[in-house]
Amino acid sequence: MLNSDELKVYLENLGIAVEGTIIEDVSKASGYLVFVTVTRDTNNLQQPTNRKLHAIRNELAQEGTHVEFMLKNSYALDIEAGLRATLLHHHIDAIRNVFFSADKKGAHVWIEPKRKFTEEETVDVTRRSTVYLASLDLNLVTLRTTIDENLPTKFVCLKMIRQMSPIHIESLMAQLVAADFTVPSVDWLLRRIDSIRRSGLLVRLSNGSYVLSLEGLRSLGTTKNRRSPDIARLLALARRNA
Amino acid sequence: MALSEQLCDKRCFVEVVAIYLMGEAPQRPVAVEKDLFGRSAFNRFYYAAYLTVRAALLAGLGECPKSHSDVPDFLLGKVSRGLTQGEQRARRVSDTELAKLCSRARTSARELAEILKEGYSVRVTADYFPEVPVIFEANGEFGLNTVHISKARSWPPKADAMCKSICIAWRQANA
Repeated sequence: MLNSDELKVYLENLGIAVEGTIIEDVSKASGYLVFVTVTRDTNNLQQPTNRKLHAIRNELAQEGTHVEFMLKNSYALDIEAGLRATLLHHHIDAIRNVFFSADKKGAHVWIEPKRKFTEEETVDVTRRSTVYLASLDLNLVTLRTTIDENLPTKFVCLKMIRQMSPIHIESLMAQLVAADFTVPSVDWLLRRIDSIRRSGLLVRLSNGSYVLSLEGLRSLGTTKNRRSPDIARLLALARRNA
Repeated sequence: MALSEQLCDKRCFVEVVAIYLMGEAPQRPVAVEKDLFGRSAFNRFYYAAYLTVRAALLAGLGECPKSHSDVPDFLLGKVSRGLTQGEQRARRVSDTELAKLCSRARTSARELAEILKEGYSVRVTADYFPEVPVIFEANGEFGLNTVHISKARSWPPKADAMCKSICIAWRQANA
C-alpha cells in the first residue's frame, strides 16, 4: 500500500493534477480521498476522463490502495457564479438561486424560484441563460425549475385507471387527490385523459367511465412480484367494496 | 413528528450554525480560533447537506443508508436504477413528460452523489486533519484543502434542489 506522498507522485507521473493534501479516509482502511482538477478540452470532454480515473483507481485497488477521486472544476464554479449573478440581476423577485453543471452533452441549469414563473419569465430566463452560456461556448441542454409541482403524469393516470377501472372522471380525480397528487380541476384532468384516449391506450365506455384498452394494458406491462398490478387491483377493489 | 420532518428541522438549524461560523471565523482575533471556526463551518455545511438528503430520501423514497459514505453509492446504484426503470416504463406508454423527469432526476442523483462525496472528504479533513490549515484570503473568505467556503455554502440548497428533482420523479414513476 502506498503512503500519501508516494500516491501523489504516482498520480502526477500519470498526468493527474492533484490539488491540496491527500486525505486518509477514516471510514476505510488503506483508503484515500484525492482532489483532482478537471478541465474541458476543445471537444468539451472532461480531462482526465472518468475512464482513465476508473482505470487508475482499479489498478491502485489491486495493489491494496483504495482511492476516491473528488473532481474539482473551478471553471464550472466561475460559470455558475456568473450565471447566478446574471439571472438574479434581472429576476430578483422571481429567482432564489441558480445552479449549474456540465456534462458531455452540454450545460444543465437548475433554477430555484421564489414563485411560479410566468410564461414571459420562462422565455426570458431561458434566453439569458442560452446567451450567457453560448458566450462561453456551452450549449444549454436543460433548464429546469425546482418548484414542487406534483401534477399526475400520463403514466400515473393510466396506473390509477388500471387499478380502479371502470372509473368515472370525478372518482379518478378523488383517487389522485387522495394519493397526494395535485389536480387543478376536473376539466384539466378530462383534457389529459382525453389525450390518452386519443392515443389508443384508454377506452371510454357508454356510461362515461374509463378502462384501459388492450394496447394500454400491454404498454403498462406487468410484474410477477409483490408490486404486481394484479395484486394492486385486487386490493383496490377489496378496499372499494369494503 | 416523523423522522424526515425532524431531520428537516435540524438541517435548517445546522445551516444557521454553519452560516454563523462562516461569518465569525474571519472576525476571530487569534489564528487558531479562525482556523477552528473555519473548519467547523465546513463541517456544519456538510451536515446540513447530508441531513437534507437523508430527510428527503426518507420522505420520498422511504429509505436512506445510515452510513454517510454509503449514500453516494445508494444514489448512483439503487436510485439511478429505479429512475432508469421508471423512464423505460414511461416510454412504453409514450409519456415523454415522465421520461424526461426521470432522466433529469438521474442527472440530479449523479450530481448529488458528487456533492456528498466532496462534502464528506472536506468534513473528514476538517475533523481529522488539523495539520491541513484553513487558508484565509484578504477579503475574509477562506478555503480548506482547495475547497472554498462559498462552494460549501452552496451544498445544502443544491442538495435540496437535487432531492426535489429525484423525489418528484420517483413518486410519479412508483405511484
